[in-house]
Formats: sequence, structure tokens, C-alpha cells
Amino acid sequence: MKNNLKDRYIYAVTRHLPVKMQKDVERELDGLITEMAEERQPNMASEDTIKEVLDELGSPEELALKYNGSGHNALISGVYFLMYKRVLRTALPIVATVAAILAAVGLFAGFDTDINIVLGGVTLAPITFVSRFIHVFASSISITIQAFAAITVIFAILDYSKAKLKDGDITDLPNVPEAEAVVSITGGIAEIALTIAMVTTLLFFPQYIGGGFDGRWIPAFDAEYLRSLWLPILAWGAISVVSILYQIIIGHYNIKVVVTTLAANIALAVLTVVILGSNNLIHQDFTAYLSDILGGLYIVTNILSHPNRMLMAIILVALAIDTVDVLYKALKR
Amino acid sequence: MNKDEILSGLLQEMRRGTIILCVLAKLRQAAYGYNLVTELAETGMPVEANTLYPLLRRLESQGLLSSHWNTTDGAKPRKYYATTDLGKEILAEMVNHWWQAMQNVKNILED
Repeated sequence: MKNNLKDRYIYAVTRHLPVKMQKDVERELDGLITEMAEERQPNMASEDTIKEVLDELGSPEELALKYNGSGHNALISGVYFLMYKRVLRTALPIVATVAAILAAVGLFAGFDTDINIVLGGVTLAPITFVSRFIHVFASSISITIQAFAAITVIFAILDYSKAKLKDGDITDLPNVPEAEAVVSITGGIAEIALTIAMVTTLLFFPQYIGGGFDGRWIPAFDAEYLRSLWLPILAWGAISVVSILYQIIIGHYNIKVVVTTLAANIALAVLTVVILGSNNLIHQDFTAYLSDILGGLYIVTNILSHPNRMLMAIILVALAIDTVDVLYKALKR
Repeated sequence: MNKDEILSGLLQEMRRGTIILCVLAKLRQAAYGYNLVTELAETGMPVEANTLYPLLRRLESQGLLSSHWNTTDGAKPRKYYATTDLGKEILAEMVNHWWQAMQNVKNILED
């Protein structure tokens, strides 16, 4: 593990650069710092000499910006602009795809039948396959634009608050994390997309969660009851998304990420109990259906007589595992 | 901000536009980054490494410089940069503009 001051400085610069540039800049900066240090102290440069050189090179964030050629005085500037670009590049295609799939499911499954295309005050009918396709496409574009706006607002606020760029001593730079302690942007965005898809399905398409029995589709949830829980479900989604976004912005697992993840997971656990606590949540037919297909297995039937509690237990265990996982990755650094 | 700071900032701004000209001219003979930093300093055109290194990379991405890593003879690996043919053409144009600008500034100063 490379964790001397020079390596930490180089990592603090290169982590903000595009992946294809990182290795080359790392190698070049390594050579530059070594030569500058040797010029000052020819044989074995001390840590103090290295610090002197790094102070001359300036803050890693500023150097990363020079390498990227990004400007200042913008809505989103500095290191946040570099992160913003990376998050957008990953997030928008995923959001567009998920939005298109959800819109297509809603339309072609007949859930959303109120489609009126109006041109010049005249309503066009009947609704054709092409017009449905256009609607799906438009929905996808609309949601993607909303996602773009939301991400822009979040980064603009972060940039405005200037919470990130600390002009502290160069020796305070964090250690170079192990590869597994680096937060995966793709993984994080995929988790966000999954969370949004799950919340959207629960709120708008709950009837599609269930099982087939004797040629009849039995929904798992009581849609009416589930929709009455829209606030805790939305809060669940929002807390998850913010928590993941925070991990992506920090870029690696550290004590701050552990604390925020712990706080978020406690809140999510409470919301999970609120959402899944009542037996009214599960459609009566679904409970009966489970009992029928597992009729001979007494213990299983007993457990499944309250599938909401089983689901609650699974989610609570998953939240606990997630917290421990984040803690483990942070400690690995 | 005192007079020296103001002057220093203005001189830095004045010099900024000439750095690319100097870099392209110097790199008609290949050199590595830190070598160029010291050579420019010796000729009275000091440029900080944290300015020069990103600039070299930008000029390379524009096709004005080419680069290669020299790792032969057990020496320290160093990235050498050299002005490309396109860089030399741009340099020649810039030099013409430079002399023209010099003349214009001279005329203004002697007015």
C-alpha cells in the first residue's frame, strides 16, 4: 500500500481526472515531485522536503482543475464540476432506460389509458402504436431532463456552500484507499435507478407484483393501503438516493460515509417498520394463495402467513449488512 | 493589495500569453517537463511546474506537441515532449503575430 505524502498528493490529484489520464499523470507527477525534491536535497529527500515541493505545486484540487482545463465562476465549478460530469455521464443513460421501461410497462399494460394527443386544439384519435411509442419516448426524455435538473441543483448547492475545498495543510490529505474502498459510481447509480424503479412500482404499479394461480393473477399488495403509505415510501426512496449520492460525492468509504450511512439506515429501518408493519398491507388472496401452494409445509406456512414481516426482516437484515459492509470498507483504508 | 502585488499580478498576466510561444519554440528540440521548467527559468521566463505540466498535456491533446516515455538505460522514466509539424506551423504564425504586436505596442508607447 502506497501511503506516503507524495502518493497521497498524487492520488488526490488523479482521482478527479478521467480514468484514461490517471496512470500517465500519476507517473509524470511522480517524476516531477522526485526531481524537484532531489534538486533541493540530492540524496534522500525527507518528508519535509516533499512537503515543501507539494506546497509549491499547490492544492491537488487546483492542479486537477488545471489538468482538466475547467473554468471558474460558473454555477458548478471546481472539483464539483468534475464529479458532476462523471455522475451525469453515468446517470442519464440509466435513468432514461429505466424511465422508458416504466413508461412502456404503464402504457402497453393498459395502466395509463388517458393519452390525448392534441394538435392545434384538435384531439387526434384513435391512439396508435406510433403515438404510444412517442408517448413512451417523451416520458423518458421528460424524466431524464428532471433527473438532469435534480443532479444539477444538488451539485450547484454543494458548490455554493463550498463545503468541499478545504485549504488545509497538505499533510492532512487522506490516505490512498484500497481499490475496494473506492465507491463505484456505476454501482451507486445502478442502486439509485433500482431504488427509483422500486418506489415507482410500489406507488404506481403495485398490481404487477404478485403471482399467478389457476390462471388468475393475484397481487401481493393491497394497492389502496399501499398508496396510503405514499409519504413513508417516498421518504424511503429519497433517503436512499441521498445516502448513495453522498457516497458517490465523497468517492471512498471513510468515517463520514460510515456515520451518514448508519444514520440513513436507521431512518430506513424505522420507515421499513412503518411501511411493512401492518398485516393489512398484504392482499388477503395472496396470503391464502401462499398457504395453498405450501399447504403441506406447516413451518413454512406459519412463517408465510405474515409475508410482510418476512419482507421486513429481510430488508432490516440487508440494511444491517450494508452498514457493516460500509464500516468494513472504511476500516480497510 | 499593495503596489508590488498588483504589479506582480499584471506581469504574470502579460507573460501568460507568451508561455505557449516559448514552449513551442523550446520544444523544437525534445525535452522532458522539469528540464523545460529549469531551461525557461534560466532564460528569464520562469513558469511554475503546476502551470507548465497541464499546459504540455493540453498542447499535446491539440496535436501541437507529441510525447514519449524514455525509460532506457535504467534511467528515471521521463516523458519527453517535442513540437509536431502542426505545432511548428502554428509557432511560425504566432511568431509573425508576435513581431507585429511588438511593433504595434512600440508605436503606442512612443506616441
